[in-house]
Amino acid sequence: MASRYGTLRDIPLEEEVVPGTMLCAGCGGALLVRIFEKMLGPGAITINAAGCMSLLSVFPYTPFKSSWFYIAMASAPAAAQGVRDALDILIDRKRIEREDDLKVLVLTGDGAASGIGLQATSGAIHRGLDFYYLAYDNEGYSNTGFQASESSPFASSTKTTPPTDLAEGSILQKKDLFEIWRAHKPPYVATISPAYIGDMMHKIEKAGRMSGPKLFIAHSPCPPGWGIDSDKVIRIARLAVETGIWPLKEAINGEVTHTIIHKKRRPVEEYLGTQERFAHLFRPARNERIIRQMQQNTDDYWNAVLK
Amino acid sequence: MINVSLHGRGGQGIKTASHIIGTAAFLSGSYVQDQPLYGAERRGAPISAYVRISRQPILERGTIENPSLQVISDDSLLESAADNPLEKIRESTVVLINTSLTKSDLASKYSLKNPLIVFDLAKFDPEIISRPTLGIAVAAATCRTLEMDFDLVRQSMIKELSGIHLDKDDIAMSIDLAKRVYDMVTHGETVMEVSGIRESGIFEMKFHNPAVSTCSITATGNSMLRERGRWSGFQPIIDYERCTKCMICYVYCPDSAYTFDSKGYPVVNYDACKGCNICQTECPVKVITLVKRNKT
Repeated sequence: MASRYGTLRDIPLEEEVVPGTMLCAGCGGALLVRIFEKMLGPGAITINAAGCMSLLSVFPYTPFKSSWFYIAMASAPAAAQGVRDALDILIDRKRIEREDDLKVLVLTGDGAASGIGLQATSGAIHRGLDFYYLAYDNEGYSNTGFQASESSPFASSTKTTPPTDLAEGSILQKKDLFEIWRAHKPPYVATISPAYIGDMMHKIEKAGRMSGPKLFIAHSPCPPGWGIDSDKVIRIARLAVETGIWPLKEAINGEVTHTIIHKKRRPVEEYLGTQERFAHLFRPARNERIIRQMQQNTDDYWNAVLK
Repeated sequence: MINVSLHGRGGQGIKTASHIIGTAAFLSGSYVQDQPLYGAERRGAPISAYVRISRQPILERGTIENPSLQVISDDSLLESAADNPLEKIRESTVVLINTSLTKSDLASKYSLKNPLIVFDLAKFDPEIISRPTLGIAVAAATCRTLEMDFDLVRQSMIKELSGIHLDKDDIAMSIDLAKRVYDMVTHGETVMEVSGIRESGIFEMKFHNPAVSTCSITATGNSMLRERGRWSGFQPIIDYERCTKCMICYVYCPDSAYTFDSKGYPVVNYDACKGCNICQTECPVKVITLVKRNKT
C-alpha cells in the first residue's frame, strides 16, 4: 500500500507533545516521543513506566494534549491491558462511540523493556493485546545517573560498569530485545532511529494498519549518560546505523526484513569514538582487542543478514 | 548543627560539591550528611543538594528547609519565579552567591535583609558557568565560608574526585582552581548554627481516598506555564535570506520549539528552546547560528 509519508516534509505538523518538559536538552528519547505521538495523532493514551520519561509530566504540568498514565516499571503492559479492556467495554455499552476509541501506547525505557518489565510485556504480546509499545533504548538507567541496564552494550562504561584494571567497562553483551519480542510472533516489531525519521514514519504508518501488539525499539542517544554534546545526538544516531551497530529492521508476524542497508559500512570505531562511555577504548592507549571484537560482532551480524 | 543548602543547575557539579563539603567536614571530625535532591537531575534544570554538619549524631533526614547557609551557584536561578532559592530562607540565613552584582545591588533587587557573601566566578573564567568545574569552585567558596582549613578541602577533593574517575592531572587542576576561589572569597559574616532534632515522634498516617491523595493533572498541554528559567546561555538565530524551508530544524527539535510562519519559514519559540543546538548542527545549508542570550 502506498505511503502518505513520501518525504520528511509530509510529517504531521500538529504537536501532540507541547514544549516545557523537564527532560535534558537534546534528549534523543524526547524527539522519538514527539514524532511517535505526532504519527499516532490525537486520541492516543500514553502508559508510561517509571524512567526518564516520568519527567514528561511533573505535577501540576503535562506536555500531553491527551491522556498520560503513570505506572511502576514492571507494569506498563498490564496497565495497557486494563485501559484497552475499559475502552472495549465502554464501546460495547455504547458509553463512547467507536470513532472516539483511543490508541494505547506503552512508553518505557530499556530498563523496563529489557529487564524489569519484560515479563508483563511477554504476557501482553502472548494475549495479542492491541497496543503500541515504544521502548526508547538509551542503553542504561539514565534517569538515576546511568547505571548499567540489560541493554547496555559490551565494553560501555556506566556508573556500575566503570573501566577498571579488571574489565573494560561492561563485560556483558546487550540483550537482543528485538529477537525476544519477535519470538512471540507479534504482527509488528521494528527498530527505529531518530536519525531516520522517514523510515520511522513508514513503520508507524504500516503498524497502524495492523491489530495486536505493535512494538518499536528506538535507538535513543543520551547526552549525559553517553557523554556526548547535545547537538551531536542525531549525528551519533546516524553513525550507529551507518556502522551497522544499530540495524534498522522490521518483522511482520516474525518475518524479518532490513529496511535500511548500507552496503559499505563505516568502521564501528567511528561510532565508538564519538562517546565518552567508550573513551577508555581509545585513551590512554588504544584497545585494539576490544575494538576488533566489536567490529567482528557487527560484521558477523551483517554477514548473516546479507548471506 | 549547620545546615547548608546548595542550588545550581544540572551539569555544574553541584552534587559533587555537596560531597566535597561533606567529606571535608567529616575529615574535621564532624557528623555529616550530604546528598543531592534525588529524582529530577537534568542538565540545565535547577537542582539542589544538602549538607548537614554537626558535633552530635544527626537525627534529621530529608531536604533542608531552614538552611544556616544558602549557596547559589548561578544567579540566573534567581530569575525563576517558581524555584527562586531566595524564597526558601530564614532572615538569619547567610546567602553565598556567585554573581557579578554587588552586595547592595543584590539586596535592593531582591529586597534581602540577609547577611550576603558574593563572589564572582565570571572574573576567573566567563565560561565556567557551563562546565562541571563550577561545582569545585562552589565547594571551595562554601568551605571558606564555613572556615574549614584548605588542607581538609584538598584531602576531600582527592577522595571525591578519584571516586568519579578523574585522572591525576584533572584533580590537580581542580585543586588549583579550588585554592584560587578559596583565597578569593572574603566574608565578615558568621554562619549561625540551628538546633537539630533531639527526639523523634510517631506520626499517624491517615488513609485518604486516592482521588484526593494522588496527583492528577486534569489540564492538557499546560507545561509551557511552568517557569523554567534559562536552560542555556545560547539561542539559535536563523538567517532567513538563505533559509531553504527544508524543515530539518523543525523535524529534529526534541522540544517542539519550532513552528512555521505564514510563508513556511521556521520560527523558534525561545521560551521552549533549551539550546541543545541540534538544529544548528543538522541544518543542511548552515543558516543557523548560536548567539549568547541576553541576560534579563
